[in-house]
Amino acid sequence: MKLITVGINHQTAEVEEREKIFLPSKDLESALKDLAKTPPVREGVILSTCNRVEIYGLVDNIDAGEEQLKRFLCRNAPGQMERMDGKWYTHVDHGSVAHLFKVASGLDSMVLGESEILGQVKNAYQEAVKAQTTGKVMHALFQKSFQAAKFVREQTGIGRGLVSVSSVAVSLAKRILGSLNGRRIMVIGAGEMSSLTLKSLKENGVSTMIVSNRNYDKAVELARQFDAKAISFDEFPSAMRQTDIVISSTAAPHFIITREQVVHLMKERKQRPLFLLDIAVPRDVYPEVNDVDNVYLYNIDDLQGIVKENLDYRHSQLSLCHSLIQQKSERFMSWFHQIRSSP
Amino acid sequence: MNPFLKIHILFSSLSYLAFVLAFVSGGVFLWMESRLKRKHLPPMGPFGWSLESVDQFNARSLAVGFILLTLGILSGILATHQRFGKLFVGDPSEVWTITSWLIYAAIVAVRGTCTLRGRKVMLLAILAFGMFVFTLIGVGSFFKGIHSLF
Repeated sequence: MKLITVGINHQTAEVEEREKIFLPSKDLESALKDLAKTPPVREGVILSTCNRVEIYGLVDNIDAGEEQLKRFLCRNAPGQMERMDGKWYTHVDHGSVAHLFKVASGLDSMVLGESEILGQVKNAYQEAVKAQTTGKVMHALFQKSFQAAKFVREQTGIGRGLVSVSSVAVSLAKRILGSLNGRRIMVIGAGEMSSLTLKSLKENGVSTMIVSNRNYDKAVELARQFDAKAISFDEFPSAMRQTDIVISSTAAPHFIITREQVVHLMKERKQRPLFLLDIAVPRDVYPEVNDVDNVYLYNIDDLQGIVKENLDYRHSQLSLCHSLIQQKSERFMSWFHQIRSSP
Repeated sequence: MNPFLKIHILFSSLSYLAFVLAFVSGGVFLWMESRLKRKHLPPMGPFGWSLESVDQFNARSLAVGFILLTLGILSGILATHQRFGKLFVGDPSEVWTITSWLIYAAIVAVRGTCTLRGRKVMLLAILAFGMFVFTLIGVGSFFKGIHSLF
C-alpha cells in the first residue's frame, strides 16, 4: 500500500496544457466514481484548479498506479499523456504527504501564501467523500493537511501582507481615509488597470464615482459599467475639489496634474486628504506632488514595491514553513507505517 | 480648600490629560504620515484608526484641552482673587500659562478654519505640548511663586 500524488501545475505546464485535463467541479463526482473503478487505486481525491490538476491516491503498486493515474487524467484528451512527458510530477509516500501539506498551506501556489487554495483542497476532499472514494487513509491525510495548513499560517508570516496591486491600493486608501463608505472617487482615463482598481474600491464601499476621459464616449462606457457619472476631460480639475481618491491612467505623453495645480486645489479643499493613484506610463502626475501636505501620491512602481516587500517577507518565511511541514508529514508517516504494517 | 482652587486643579489636570492625548496622537500621525509619504504601508493606527481618524482625534483632543485649560485659567483667576484680593499676582506660572493658552488658541483657530492641517499642525501641537509641560513642571521648579514645587 503506497501513497502517491500525480499531476501537473503552473510551474511544470502552461495553461494551454493544464486546461486540456482540467476537471470542472460539476464533473468531479462522476470522475471520482470512474477513478474508484481504476485498479490499482484503492482511495483517491482529485484536486483540479486553474493552477493544478492532481490526484492523491492510495495504490497497491507504485509503477502501475502512476501509469494508471496519468492515463486517467488524460482520458478525455487522447495523446496528451505523451505530449506532457516531462511536465508530470510524481510524489510517493512521505513526498506525497509533504506535497499535499505544502499545497494546502499555499506554499506551492502562484501567489505564495495565498489562502484560497485551502478552500479548494477542502472542496476536493468533500467531493471525494460524497463519491465514496476516500477511506481511512485519505480521511486522515486530508484532515491532517487542513490542520497543517492552519498551523503553518498561525506559526509563520506566510500569509501576511497584501500581494496584489489592487488590494494594496485599497489598503492604502483605507489607511489614509479610513472607511471607504461614502467616499468619492474619480478615474481619469479608461485603461484596464483603472477598471480593476475601481472594481476593488467599489467592492470596499466607495459609492460616488466619476469617470473622465479625452474621449467622452469611452468615459460614458466605463461609467456605465460602474454606475458612475461621466464628465468631459476639461472638467476633471474642478471635479478634484470634491473627490477623495483620484486614479489617473491616461495615455498622455506629459504630466496632466502639476504641483501648482495641486497646491491651489488643496487650499480649495481646505486641506482634506487626497489620495492620488498614478498608474499611467508615462506618468500623469508630477512626482513632486507627493511633497504637498495632505496629498499621498502613489505610482505603479510604488504599489508593486509594496507588493514585492510583502512577497519578499513571505519568501523569508519559507524555510520555517518547510521545517514545520517536515515535522507534520513525518508524524503522519509514522501513523501510516503502523497502519501499513498491521494485519 | 478654596472651592475655586479645587475647580482650578480639576480643570487644569483634565486639560493636561487632553493635551497628552493630542501629543500622542500627533506623534502617531507623524509616524504614519512619514511611512505613507515614503511609500511604505504603515499598520493601521491605534484601535484600527486611519490617518484621518488620528487627525480628527487630535483635533478633538486639542479643542477639549483648550476649553478645559480656559476653564482652569478662569477658575485659577477666581481662586487668586479670593485668596489675594486681586486677579493676578504676577506669578511666573500665570505668565507661562497664558502664553500656552495663546499658542493653543492659535492652533485651535487654524484647525477650525482649515488653514492648516496634517503634518504642520501636528508639529505645532507637539511643540505646544512641550511648552505646556514646561509651564506645569519647569516653571514651578525654576521660579519662585504660588506654583513653586520647591
